[in-house]
Amino acid sequence: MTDRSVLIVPNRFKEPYDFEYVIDLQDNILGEMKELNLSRITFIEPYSMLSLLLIGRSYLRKSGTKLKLTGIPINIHQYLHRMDFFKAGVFEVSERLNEKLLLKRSSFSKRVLEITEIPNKERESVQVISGIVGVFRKRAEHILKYWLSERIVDYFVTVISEICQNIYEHSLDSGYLAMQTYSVGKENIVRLCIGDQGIGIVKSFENCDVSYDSSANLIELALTTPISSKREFGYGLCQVNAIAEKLRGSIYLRSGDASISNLYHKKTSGSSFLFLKNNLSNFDGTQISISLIG
Amino acid sequence: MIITIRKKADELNQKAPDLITRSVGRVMYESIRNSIGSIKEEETLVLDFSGIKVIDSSFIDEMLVKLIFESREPGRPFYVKLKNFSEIAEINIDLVFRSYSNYKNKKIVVITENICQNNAFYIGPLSDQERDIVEFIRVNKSITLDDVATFTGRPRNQTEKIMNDLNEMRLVKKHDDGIFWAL
Repeated sequence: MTDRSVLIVPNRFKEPYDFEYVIDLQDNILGEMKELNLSRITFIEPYSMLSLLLIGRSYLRKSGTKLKLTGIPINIHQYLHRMDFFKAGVFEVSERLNEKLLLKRSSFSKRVLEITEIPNKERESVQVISGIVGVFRKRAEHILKYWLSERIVDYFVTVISEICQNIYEHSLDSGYLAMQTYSVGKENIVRLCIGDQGIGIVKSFENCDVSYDSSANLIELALTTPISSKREFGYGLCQVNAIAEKLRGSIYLRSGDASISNLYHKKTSGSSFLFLKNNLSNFDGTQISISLIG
Repeated sequence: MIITIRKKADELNQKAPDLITRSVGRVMYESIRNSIGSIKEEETLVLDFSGIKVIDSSFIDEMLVKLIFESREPGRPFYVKLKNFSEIAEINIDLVFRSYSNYKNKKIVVITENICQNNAFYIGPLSDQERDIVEFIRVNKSITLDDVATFTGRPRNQTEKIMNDLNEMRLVKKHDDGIFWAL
């Protein structure tokens, strides 16, 4: 007889859009699950990792207890431990990783920014953002190994700053940031991810005079025009989008039940690689992934 | 008057080379305001960004935009000029100025000492005509309204309006004798 409180999580942690399969299971997870079995996971990228963390935090907030993670493959466990995934304290992990198997921070650490919590208060958040930028500058030559130039480092400092500020300015929740360089086949990818489970873009604009057709359309407007729910103008997301275009990278932005993908690396003259999706399963807050692929 | 932003940042215990977030912009703006208490009418305030890499849109909005609007106030008009800014600082300033100008219908432009990516010595949105005139004055240092009218081939009254607009934007100085000066 199957245990209805255990969910065997599908191996859908390879790309942000892939993680939708896990988000579709969120109601089950938050409703009746006590345990997530990760034994089928073969790879987990930073956006999926942050989103899983947000699901765990949601569960903890809702139930007051920690969701249990079991069956974690060693390589995934090593990675999650290395990225400080467990430090957030939202999951219960029964199987501890042998000390000998822990990834050494000296070599691997230079290619990542570990999961860092962005507080929802301005004063604390400004200090945290400054700290993240400091670590990023120190590790930039490793994180941006395949793209390194002073200009690109500065672009990423701008992106980190702009998106992190959106968390305490608009989401009314704290959030998380992580960044990593990794390879898939012949592709090298650097991915910066930031996510929160706050009020989301649609709700933050509900008292504003901005007209839009759908949630995804509003996200598109936030990304391409300097609209703001708080001030006359909001430059942050616009600037992030402009930088992604300059670097021929990609952006995946999800908020509530909608998402937008801007794939500048696939864009050729005159074509549009902008994809809007509405009516997705609701996932509170806003999550962003910015990638360079080379 | 020259203000070295890096030095100011050190005084304010702000971590250079990056000046980011609104709160840092607000602190910097207040500090600069205190420093320019003695600035003379019609004087140029040069902001030197050597040693600074990133200034983000929030910092720009709280510091530079406010400073430029203050320079336009009638009580004690002064002029703002930037130098030694990084490429990303220029891009971020340009985005903020263009957004503001497009959606507020009020142009914000700043004169620079270094040549910019637009191949001119200013950041922000100017029309081709305005751009040519600003460049004409920069090269010639000082000119009369007739010089500009001859240069542009426009009637004197139209030229006068453009020059007054440029002066109101604090991009050219206008002296009582009717001569316009570069910053």
